[in-house]
Amino acid sequence: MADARAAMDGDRTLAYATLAPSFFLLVLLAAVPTVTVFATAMQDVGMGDMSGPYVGFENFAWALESQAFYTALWNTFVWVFGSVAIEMIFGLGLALLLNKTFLFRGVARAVILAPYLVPTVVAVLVWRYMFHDIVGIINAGLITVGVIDKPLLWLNSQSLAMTSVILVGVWKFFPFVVIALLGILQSIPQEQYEAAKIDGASGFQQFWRITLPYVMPVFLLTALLRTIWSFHKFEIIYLMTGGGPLDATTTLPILVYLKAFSDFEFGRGAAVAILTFTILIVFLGLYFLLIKRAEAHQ
Amino acid sequence: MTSATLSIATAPDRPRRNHELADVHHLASRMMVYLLAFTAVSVVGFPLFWMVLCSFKPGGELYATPPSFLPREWTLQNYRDLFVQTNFPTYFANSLIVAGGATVLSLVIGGLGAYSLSRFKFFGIAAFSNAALICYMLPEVLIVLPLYIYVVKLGLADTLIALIIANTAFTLPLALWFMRSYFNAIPVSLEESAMIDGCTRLQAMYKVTVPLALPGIISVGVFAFNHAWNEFLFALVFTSSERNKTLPLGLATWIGQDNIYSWGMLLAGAVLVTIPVVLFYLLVQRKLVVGLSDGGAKGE
Amino acid sequence: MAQLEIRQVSKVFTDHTAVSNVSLTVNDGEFLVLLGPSGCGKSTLLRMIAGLELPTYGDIVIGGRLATRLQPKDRNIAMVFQNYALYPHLTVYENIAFPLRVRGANTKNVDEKVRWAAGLVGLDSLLKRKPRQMSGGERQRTALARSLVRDPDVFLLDEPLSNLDAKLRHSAREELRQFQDRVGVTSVYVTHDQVEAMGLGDRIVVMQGGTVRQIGTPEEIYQYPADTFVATFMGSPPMNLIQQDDITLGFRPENFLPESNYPSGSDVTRIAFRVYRVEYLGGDRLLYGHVCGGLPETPAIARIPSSVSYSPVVGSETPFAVATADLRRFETSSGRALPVDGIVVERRLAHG
Repeated sequence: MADARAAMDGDRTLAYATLAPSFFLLVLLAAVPTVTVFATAMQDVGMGDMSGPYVGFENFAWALESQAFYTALWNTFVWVFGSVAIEMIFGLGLALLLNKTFLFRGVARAVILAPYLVPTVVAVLVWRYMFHDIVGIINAGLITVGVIDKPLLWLNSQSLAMTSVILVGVWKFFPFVVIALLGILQSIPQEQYEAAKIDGASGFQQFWRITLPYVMPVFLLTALLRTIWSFHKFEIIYLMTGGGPLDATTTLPILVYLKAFSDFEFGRGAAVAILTFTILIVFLGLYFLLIKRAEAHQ
Repeated sequence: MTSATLSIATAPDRPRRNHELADVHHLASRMMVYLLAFTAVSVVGFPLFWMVLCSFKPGGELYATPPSFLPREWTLQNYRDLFVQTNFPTYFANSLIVAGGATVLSLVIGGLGAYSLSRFKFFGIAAFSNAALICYMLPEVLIVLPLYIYVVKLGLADTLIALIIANTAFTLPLALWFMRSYFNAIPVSLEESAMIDGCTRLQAMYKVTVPLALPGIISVGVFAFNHAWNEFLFALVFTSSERNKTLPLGLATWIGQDNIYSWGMLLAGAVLVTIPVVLFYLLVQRKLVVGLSDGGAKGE
Repeated sequence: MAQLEIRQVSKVFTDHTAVSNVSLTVNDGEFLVLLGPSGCGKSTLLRMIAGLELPTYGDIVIGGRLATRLQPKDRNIAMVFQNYALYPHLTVYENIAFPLRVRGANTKNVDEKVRWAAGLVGLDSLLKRKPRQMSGGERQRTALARSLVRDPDVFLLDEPLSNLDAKLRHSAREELRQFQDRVGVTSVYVTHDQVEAMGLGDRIVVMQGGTVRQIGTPEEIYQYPADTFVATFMGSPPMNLIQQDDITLGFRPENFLPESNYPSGSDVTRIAFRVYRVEYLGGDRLLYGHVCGGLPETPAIARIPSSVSYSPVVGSETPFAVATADLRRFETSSGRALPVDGIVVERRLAHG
């Protein structure tokens, strides 16, 4: 018997006609810009007519020699690995918890998934209010408990700003990890645990020898996906701190934005964007490799 | 038989019931689960709880040190101010237009494309699917520069149309992938049967395939709406005038001016922005459940 | 109702040939069964008749009208799919009404016809149900009603019983045949189950590897298989084949009995048989063993009715025999049947 799809093989016109709008939209709005951004990066573009004299790789050279780029690169790595590591640990923990049966589990799940649904601007707003040095609940709470004796400048001190932003990022995005891992946890056949219990495995051994190996492929894939997304996350940092104080939280996407739309140096912004994308491609390649391997496994 | 059962039930040495909770280990682990769940829910849920609570506090209380926990006096003043003193209603309408437009475009264009990817076999189909997925992974900051240049050159700067199109481009890849898998799950024989029963292929598609894929289509629609509703970067870069701002951009401008606008109004705005998202989530969650149970009857 | 003609039809897919040069005619009102193992091309042939696949070569003629390139909707055919392809979002009533509605029939007419079709298959009381609330048998009847609601010229069925459990399958088969007798529509039925084919078909077309191996009534096909493939495919257990140089002998297990069972002087061929295992099946016993004696040692099976008093001795050589009239001969090299008793077995070759 032929493949089910071949059945509808007859109508080529319809096949192409229905795909055409998607095709053109993606080419126009994703493929062409990706190419033209290179052209922009080769020009000394300012405001006005959005094009300027050809300068070759000068913008790239500027980026690779400037302190700003390396600071942003370092900040990006701190932001990405800091938040992804914490998200993965908390995500796994809470997924394991939500995988147990208890009263009000539905409510607990809804509350834990809520931050992911809330618009970023809302998350930022609430956290900025809570982080506020004078009227914020966090400082007030810590002072009441006695951990600190004077208010901390959560968002306005160079040493704390990145930590605070990571905290908000984790709160906003760890539910994604919970959703992904809960799905795979629920698909583990119960018989495996029953067999392990009969074979004498302790709770920890069951986790170590059954649960962890089972979820590992999804865990890695999720971690990689979160890495990719965090890497080019823009608005949460921009809205929390605007990249400041000074350049304490300026990541690569923030640097792109500031160069292009604050300093109006489009060429330099584009060059940084391309460098950012180049680093990202490594992760993307790894991601697709993992997906291919997972598919081959099935 | 009956008498035997009865005699057991009334026997003096009836076996003692074994309560699971009598086991110390079991009891301890149950308590642990509840303790952890309670902690997690409180910590994760607190910011949103605090947001709703504080949006009902009068101005003075919002700036009190130390802050009061429950509002000493509940008030709707913040919500009233939001509508009277600010452009919040304009932002809200703009966001509805942008998100609604992007959703409709994603569903129509993506739905047709996904149908093609699911039902036909032709050269380059796998390459196209993969390319679409890569498009979804492209960083927004990479695309926003050239798009801004186009938008300015086409005279679309500071219009809602530019935002609708840009948002569509970003939700389209996912719409294609999801709807393709929904269509794949619907047996081709249903369409073939419809064609034998007298439908043309397009009729078979909208009379049989689309109604069956509806739960999936709705959840893709909600996803697209959510994405456009929350989108910030394009709005920030493309929009300059007050009358074309969307909600995230509007609220963000106020945050920038920390002490000019009151926290109360900001928090009230945040609550109102969140409500459509939560409503949609509840809608999809039910639809998804229906979709899953429909899936059980698939091909029958 | 109409005659259906398949003229030298082939279907070539990019990687294989599914149907190769098949010609056959289904007479008006006939119930024809396409039978063969999976991958033999029977479903592809049916889909070409339905218009879901375009034949690579050849033509399909329905009721004297060339239909090769007609859209499925323009052929006035009906089809019952293996999974029934009921529309899950529509009620039984709306499922049955669907073919009429898409043709724009008026409401009164639709209602009348739907009730007629539902009555025909005994679904009157279930019209408001959705497909997923029904049993397998009820779904099948819904699919039947839907396909017959608009008087099709040809009725196509693609393994419609394979989703039912064994018990239900038997009664559904019975219903299906009674139903066809009543409606009298030209039908083409695809199956891989020889019991179904024997029970249902006016004629059976045995297919293998995309070609037709034999066309004939169930009896013809069972009694006079055209080649060794048909001989072993039909019947369970299959025909015993004993290769003896250029000739292969064939006999059905039920014709293979202890010699003592035949009246003396009857025309039999003796074959020695060594039994090594007996399977008791209630009505029959199956004796597994080897033929021996003058013939090459070959595994064979004998089916002996329980009414025959005979106690097999495992391991010893016993004289068995086949009535010479029941003995078939095949050419070893080609597998083709040799003429028996003046009966020339019709065999359709690929180029026949």
